[in-house]
Amino acid sequence: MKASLKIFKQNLRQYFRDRSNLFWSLMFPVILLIILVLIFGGQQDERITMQISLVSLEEEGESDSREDIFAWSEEVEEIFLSIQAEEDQQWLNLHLPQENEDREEFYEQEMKLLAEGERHVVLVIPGEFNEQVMNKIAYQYHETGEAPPAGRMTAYYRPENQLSTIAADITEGIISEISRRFNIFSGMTAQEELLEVSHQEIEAFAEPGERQTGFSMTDYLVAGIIVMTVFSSGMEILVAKISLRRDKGILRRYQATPVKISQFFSGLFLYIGVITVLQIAVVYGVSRIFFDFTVNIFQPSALAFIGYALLVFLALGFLVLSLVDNGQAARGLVQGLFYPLLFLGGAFFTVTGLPGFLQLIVRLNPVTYLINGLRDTLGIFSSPTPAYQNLLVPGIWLLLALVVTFMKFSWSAGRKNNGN
Amino acid sequence: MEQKIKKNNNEAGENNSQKAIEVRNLKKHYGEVKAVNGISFYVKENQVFTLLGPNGAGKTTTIEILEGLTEKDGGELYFFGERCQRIGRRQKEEIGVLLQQNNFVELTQVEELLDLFASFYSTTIPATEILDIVELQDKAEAYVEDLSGGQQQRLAIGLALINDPKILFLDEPTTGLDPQARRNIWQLIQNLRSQGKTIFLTTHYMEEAEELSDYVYIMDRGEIIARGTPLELIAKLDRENIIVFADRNLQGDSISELENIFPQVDVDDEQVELHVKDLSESMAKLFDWSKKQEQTLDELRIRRPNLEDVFLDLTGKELRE
Repeated sequence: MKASLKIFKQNLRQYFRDRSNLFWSLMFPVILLIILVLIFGGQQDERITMQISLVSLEEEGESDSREDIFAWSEEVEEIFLSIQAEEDQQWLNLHLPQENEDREEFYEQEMKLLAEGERHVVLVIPGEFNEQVMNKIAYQYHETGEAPPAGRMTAYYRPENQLSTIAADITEGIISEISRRFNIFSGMTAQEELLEVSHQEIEAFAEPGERQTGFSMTDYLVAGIIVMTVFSSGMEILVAKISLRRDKGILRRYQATPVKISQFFSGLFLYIGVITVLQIAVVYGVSRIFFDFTVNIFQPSALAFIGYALLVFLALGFLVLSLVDNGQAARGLVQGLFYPLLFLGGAFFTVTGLPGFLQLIVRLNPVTYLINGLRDTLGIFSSPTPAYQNLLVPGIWLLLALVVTFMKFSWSAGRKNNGN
Repeated sequence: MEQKIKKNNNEAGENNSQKAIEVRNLKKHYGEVKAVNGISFYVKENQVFTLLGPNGAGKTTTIEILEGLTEKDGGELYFFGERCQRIGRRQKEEIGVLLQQNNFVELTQVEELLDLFASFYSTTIPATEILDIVELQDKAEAYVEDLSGGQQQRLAIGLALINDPKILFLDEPTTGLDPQARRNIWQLIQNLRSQGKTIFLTTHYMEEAEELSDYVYIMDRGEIIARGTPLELIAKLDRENIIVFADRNLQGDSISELENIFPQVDVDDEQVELHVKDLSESMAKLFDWSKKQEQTLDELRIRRPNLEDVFLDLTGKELRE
């Protein structure tokens, strides 16, 4: 215990005495974050796409037999499609059933997707919609008897999801505009609303807050920078510390004392853990103060995931140390891998549209899954890879690294081959 | 400073002292290379024991087995009479180690480094006392990288002393140091020996072995080729004197003539060495030769043989080749 704490303190003292360390581990992630937010952060509004489903429960056969009724529901669909088709309206992604798809099944499927966060609004046109609209128009002509209800649609949305709420409001606005046009079309002006939308909240499958609550590029980047700092402290610091000490024979010197390997590494890991926390705290603080970052990274699941990422990077560090004896080569290899793995892991932008061979690297890259997992855990961005893969793929790397380490790790630089 | 190091059984005297370390038929192979090829020796307490040999002789492999850094491939190992498979943590509590390559973690102060090493052992000497012993009192707060080569080596010896070890292993302690720093280290080693430490030394400097050793084992190609006190080893050469003079373009005929007169003649670019027993008779013969060959005997001097000569005699090559 005493030895571990001394090793920890010695490393920490060294860290604070080395100004280049302070720059690269504390200032650099912040500078990179600022640069990336300035470059990409402004694009957040353009990137929002609202996923809206339109489900008409009007039965087609019914409209055939009653040719007297105008297919208002199809008009609504046409208008939504024309909005989507306009070039500057790429925020709307409309989901409609296929030609012969069962409407009820489509409805069930879209409601499920809404609950999972894949849709922002499901707009349902009920079976009696066309008749309701006709009745309303007829009433407006004759104004006899009790006023019938307007053509009523239901917009299902998720109140805890900001984008879903906004999409529901926008949908209502569109319906209101359609209502106005229908009135004009049927010769009525300044009349009652033909169409109405009732908002219907639905419950999410997942806990509120776990799913995305509106996309923010800053949040997306902060999560990437956090993984970068964990990568840096887990792999870069470990490889630098061990390889320098190994090259200089310092590990051999420790080996000639009764200090246990476990004491040495617990001291070193404690140091790496503290530096990681310090780096994340600085990135978090700056993001919060300057960039409106409001995601709570201190929730247990997120901390556990960051801890898991640190373990994976430590193991990968040992993998490099075990495969490359020469310290300079080992440090060079980590530096050479650092940015490509981060970029191809999607730390700073999405990597879904890359060509085949790069896509293969993305799929094998443990950083991809750690970043997806962290963003998902923090509720910043739904992981494009399944949750189990986000744990499993880095886990396979971790195990592989540990096996190689136990087989090949050496305390001294270069294999001894002479009889000095 | 003498009283600061605990004495280790040195009252028993050299003759009755216990064996601190003993190896029998010790072996270590690296592939085809037999780095240590079945050597046996023992080190008595309160002695300076030296393994002397050229680079690649197997000295470092031997000392690293005794330091617990390398596993032996064969043979027996005894630590204060107790047979052990390897030098483990328990034995490491009792030994102090100076590796051939001594580097320190940077941006660390001398006293901090001593504190760090102290935390590795159950029994330790206070850092301030170590600084007194290795005469670095005024460097306690200096960064290790700012120390001179000699100071760094003294610090490395200080680290080896932090646990008040019974045996001190010093692997080539003065390699790369300037003559003054080397003298300082020799003085330090002699002080430690006089305070009762058992010291296991490896070196390829024969002056160092002669100056410091109680007992010398000469090692070459993984094997022990001679052993004894420095004086015993030199006496085995059966020669008492070496006549040396400068080589001023000696011709082949003159050298042949010289070789006819003296049993062993070593000629190199700089000097001629004649190995002789009877000095006055040999000098007379030399003067006759110089007169006849019209050779000046520049820088003529007589020296006693040393361990270098012993090694040359045993192997036909020089220690520093």
